[in-house]
Amino acid sequence: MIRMLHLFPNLMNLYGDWGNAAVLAGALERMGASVELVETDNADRVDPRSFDWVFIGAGTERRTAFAARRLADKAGAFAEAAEAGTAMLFTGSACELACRRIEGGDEPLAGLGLFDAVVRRTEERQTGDVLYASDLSDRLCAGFLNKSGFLITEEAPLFRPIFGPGSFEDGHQLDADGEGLARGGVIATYVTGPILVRNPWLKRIVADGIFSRACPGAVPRPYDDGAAEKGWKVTVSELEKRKAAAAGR
Amino acid sequence: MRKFLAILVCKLAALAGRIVGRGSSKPGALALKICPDILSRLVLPETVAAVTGSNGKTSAVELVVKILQDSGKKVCWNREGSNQTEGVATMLLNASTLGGRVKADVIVMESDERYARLTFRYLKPTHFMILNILRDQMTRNGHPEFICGKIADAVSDGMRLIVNADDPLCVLAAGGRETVGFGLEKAAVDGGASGGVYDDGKFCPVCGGEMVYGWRGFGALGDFSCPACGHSRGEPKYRLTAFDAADGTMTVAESGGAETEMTCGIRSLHHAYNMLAAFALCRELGVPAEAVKRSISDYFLTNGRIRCWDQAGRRLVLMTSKHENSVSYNYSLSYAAREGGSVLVIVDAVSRKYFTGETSWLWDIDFDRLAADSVRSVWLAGKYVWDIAQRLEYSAVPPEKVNVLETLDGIRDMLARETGDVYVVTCFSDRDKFLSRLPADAAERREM
Repeated sequence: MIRMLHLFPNLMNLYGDWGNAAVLAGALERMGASVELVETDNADRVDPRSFDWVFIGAGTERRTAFAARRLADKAGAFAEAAEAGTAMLFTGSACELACRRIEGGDEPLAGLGLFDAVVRRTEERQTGDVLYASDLSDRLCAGFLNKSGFLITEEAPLFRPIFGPGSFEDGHQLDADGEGLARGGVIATYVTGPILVRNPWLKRIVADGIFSRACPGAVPRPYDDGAAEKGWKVTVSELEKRKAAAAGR
Repeated sequence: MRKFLAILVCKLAALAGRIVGRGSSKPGALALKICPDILSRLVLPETVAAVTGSNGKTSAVELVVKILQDSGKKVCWNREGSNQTEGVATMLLNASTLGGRVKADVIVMESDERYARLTFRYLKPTHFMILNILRDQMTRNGHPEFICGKIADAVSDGMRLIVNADDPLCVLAAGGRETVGFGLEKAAVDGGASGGVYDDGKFCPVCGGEMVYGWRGFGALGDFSCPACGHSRGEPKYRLTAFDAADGTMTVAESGGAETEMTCGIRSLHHAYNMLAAFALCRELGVPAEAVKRSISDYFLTNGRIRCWDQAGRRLVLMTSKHENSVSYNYSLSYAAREGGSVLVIVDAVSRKYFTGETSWLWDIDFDRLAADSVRSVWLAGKYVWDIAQRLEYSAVPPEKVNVLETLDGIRDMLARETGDVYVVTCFSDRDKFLSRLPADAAERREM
């Protein structure tokens, strides 16, 4: 039985984020696994160490602060879970929860500290379509940013922007913009909403990792991602056209 | 001199725009370039009413204008719905003398949620109505709490605030000032509200505490109160006490006044809500309740958001929802499911005003409504057809009901194959893609 936790499904579900849990559970089931998806807004009722995958979606800045307070005494449990191999996904503003600290809001907030990064909130809001490259695959990640913060970190970025903004503050050691963080099976990205829905290749990577850890020796059944693959191709093609048009101006 | 020149240029540009059928904000933009403070240099009528909110602005403004005009008032309003500062400038300068006196008894302006605070620097309304603050076009609007902050920045002392009392964010935007509330009552909600796939009302936007509701409307709207911090609905002055979706009848009660019975031209709770809002604003402007009723009871909106045709013995109904707005979509899907027939969803260009390939909003829409037996088949079309198809894989809609049209021209074949009523759900950005494929023998009618 693969145990999946969708934490704060109401508090932090700003933009169809629940789709991530839905398509991942669907993929794992089609691969032949039994799946239990637990959804709760009460962080005290669940222990991340008892799950194979933990997910927190995007919220408003205020709701992200509420979530940070509810997680204030959970950093140890999350760190142990990550260390033991529990996969995690933080999307949109939940990316901030995975960092050490959130600064620039009404008051500084402690994060879970899964990454050595500090968030600097900004008055200004950054929104826009994005297209990112990564070392995860030769396929591009399509998505959308809707945020009011930057990451201050010396960690390597998960994504390299091809089109649209990143989320690393200027002056990063790579001297180039980056977006998101990843270590082991833990992914934190400002990309808002159902990133696994819109990028079926990323969903497969996450699903394969969870399946192989939870079902050692089992051979996953192949499954078809027809509509998702076609949707991804259209979106990437449109964003590449946009990039070309911007370069031509 | 600059003022005179700005007005003249605006009028000429608007005339040229009307001849070539172009947009309504450019003339105002030109005038603002010539004279940046032109709006504050106009001589305005005594009453300036502004309407903002995520959903229903255009419809509510049309109803308010209808009521005021029927009451003999000369009204200056942005009929094209161009609601940012430039559009408002076009509206006012076109209605003014070359000396800058706006020739109207009342100004009614639809105000963009984000830009009202900028427009109001030059043109402070006497009455400001906040309809609702919901998830809407988050690619440009950020999110509802962000918009709430923008609207709060537009609110200032001296305005009469007419506020949706059912909406926790509208009440928050008023910033504790005295308001005139309008809202539903439980009996009215029982006649047509429904939930969705997300719950923005579960937690208090002020303190994050769990909210308690006496009853729920749609979105976060309802009889809310937060036990932790006390943020609550209060008692609205104007209340929708009854609504029947079957025949469209509705009753509005006014504190200290009589009850007014009306009929919705479009039988939906959303339209009844807009009628309630128009009722509240016009009553605050001194229009008798009976006059409001005479004007808008059974009135069918002319803003083109809902259009209906008779064709080959069946109805074709176009419902122009907003892409990136799940409340609007949910309303259209519910309407189609209630009436029964086939449903066509077109998502080709997400917006007509800006580019985005963002389709996350599809996951905020409650497509389960199309699982109803009354919906014979579901057809999907447009560039993002596969995104909708994938979304429907995770809905209660049986897969055998779902059909993908790989090209927009497939719409013609679909209309030929389907013999029953068809409900088309799309956005302004994609509306013409349906209209250009409408069968030649389709005859438009003026009511549903």
